[in-house]
Amino acid sequence: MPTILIYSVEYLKHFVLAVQEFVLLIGHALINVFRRPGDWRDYTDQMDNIGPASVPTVILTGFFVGAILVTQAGPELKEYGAESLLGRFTGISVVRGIGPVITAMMVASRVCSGTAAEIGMMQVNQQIEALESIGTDPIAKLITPRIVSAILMFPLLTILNIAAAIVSGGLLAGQGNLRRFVMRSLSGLQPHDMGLGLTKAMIFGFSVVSLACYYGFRAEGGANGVRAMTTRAVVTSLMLILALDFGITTIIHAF
Amino acid sequence: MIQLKNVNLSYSKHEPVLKNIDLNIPEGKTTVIMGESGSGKTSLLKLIIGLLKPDTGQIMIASKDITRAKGRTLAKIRHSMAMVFQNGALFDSLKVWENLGLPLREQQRASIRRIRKEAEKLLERLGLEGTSEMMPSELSGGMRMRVAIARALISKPRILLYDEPTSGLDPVMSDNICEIILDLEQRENVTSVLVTHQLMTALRVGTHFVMLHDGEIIFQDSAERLLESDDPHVQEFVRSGLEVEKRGSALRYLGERLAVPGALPSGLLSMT
Repeated sequence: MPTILIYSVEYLKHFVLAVQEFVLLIGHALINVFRRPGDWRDYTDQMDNIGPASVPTVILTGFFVGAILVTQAGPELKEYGAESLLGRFTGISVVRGIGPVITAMMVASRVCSGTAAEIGMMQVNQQIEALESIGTDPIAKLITPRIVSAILMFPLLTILNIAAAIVSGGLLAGQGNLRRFVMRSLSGLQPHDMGLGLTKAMIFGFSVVSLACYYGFRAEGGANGVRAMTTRAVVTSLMLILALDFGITTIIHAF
Repeated sequence: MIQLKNVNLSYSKHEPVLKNIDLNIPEGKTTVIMGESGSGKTSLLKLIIGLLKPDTGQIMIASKDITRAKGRTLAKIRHSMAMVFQNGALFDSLKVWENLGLPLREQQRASIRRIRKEAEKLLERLGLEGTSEMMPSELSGGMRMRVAIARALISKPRILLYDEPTSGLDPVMSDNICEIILDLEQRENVTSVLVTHQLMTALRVGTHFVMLHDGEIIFQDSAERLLESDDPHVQEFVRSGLEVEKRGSALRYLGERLAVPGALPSGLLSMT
C-alpha cells in the first residue's frame, strides 16, 4: 500500500477516534446539566470568569468594530447619497454577523486558552485523578459548569458588543445626533435578527468551551503537553467559529 | 481487607503493565509496594482506588467486589478510602483549608464553618499551624505533602494509599512523613498501602512488603525475609537501597522495627 494512503488511513482513524472521545465527553457533561449540581459555586465562579471578566475586552472590541464599519462604509454610502442608511447598515451588520463572531473570537482567545491550560495542568498534575479519588465526577465539576456558563454568558457579552459597536458608530457618524443613529440602527432590525445573533452566540459559546475542555482533558506529559493542547484548542476554536458562522448563515438563508 | 485476585492490566494490546497479581493486604497494617520505576506500582494503587479498571481479575475491598463498580457505587466505596498523590496534587486555585475541605464539601456537603474547624484541627496535628490561608504555591515540598495527607485524612478513611510520599523530600522531611504514617497506623488502625522505591522509607513504615518487577510480584512477606531473599532482583533492590543510605542508619531503622537489639537477620549482616 502506498505510504500516503497508510498515513491517510491512520489520520482518519485518529480523527474518528477523537470525534468519538469528544462526543462521549461532552455528552457526559450535558447529561449532568439535568442533574442537581454538586456545588453552585462551580457555576457562579465560571460565570464570573467568562462573563464580567470579559466585559472590558468585549466593549472595547465593539467600539472598534462600530468605528471601522462607519469609517469604511460611510464614504461609499455618501457617494450614492445614502448616508441615512449608515445606521441601518451598522445595526444589521453587527447584530446578524459581526457582533456574535467578533465577541466569540475575543472571548474564545481569552476563555479557551485559560480553560484548556487550567484543565490541562490539572490533568498532568493528577488533580483530576485526585477529584475522582474522593468520589467526585470531574466532568460534572469541571466541564458542565463551564459549558452552561458559556451558553449563558456569550449572548450577554454579544449584546454588550453590539451596543458598543452601535454607540461608537453613532459617535463617529451620527453628526452630533447619537440618538437618531441608534434609532436608525435598530429600525432595520427584525426580532429574528436578534434571535439569530444570540443563537449564534450560544452555539459559539458551547463549541468554544467544549473544545477547550476536551483538549485540556487530553493533555499529557507536563508543561509541554499543556502548551500543545492549549494552542490546538485556541486555533481550532477560532476556525470553528468562522466555520459555524458560515454554516448557520447558509442554513438560515436556505430556509 | 484488600484483595486482588489474578489481576492483569495493560494500557495497550502489547503493553502489559501488571501480570497475574495476587495480593492480600492485611487490615490495620502498612503494606509497602516497592520496585523500580515503571514496574507498575502506581498502577496497582490506582486499581485499588478504582481509577483504573483491570483487564481481567477481581479486586475486593472489605469483601465488596469493586472490579466493575462505577458511578455512585464506586463513589460510595471511595468514601472509605483516600489517596495521597505524588507531589500532593493540591488544587492551585484553592487555599490550603479549601483544599483540605474539598472531600467534606463533595462527599458530605459540609458547611464552611465545619470545614474550617476540621481543617484547622488537622493542620495543627500535622504541624502546619498558620498555613490555612496560604495558597499551595507558597508551601515547601514537605508542607505540600503534609497538606495532601491532611486532605486524605479529613474524611476519616479506613484505607489510605500513598504514592511515593517521600519522593523528592530531604531526609528530615522524609522522616517526618514516615512518623505521620506510623502514627496513623498505631493510633487510628488505618490500613495503609504505600508505594515507594526508597528502601529506607519502606523499612521505616512497612510491616508487609511487596516487590514488583516488570509488572509481576516477585516477593511478598516481612522485612526480615525481604532482606534475606535470594531473588536476584530483590537483592539488587536492597543492595542499591543500602548503598544510597548510610549502612549505620539502615541498621538503626531496622533495629527499631524489629525491637530486638543485636538480633539482625543474617541476610542484612552479610551485606554490612
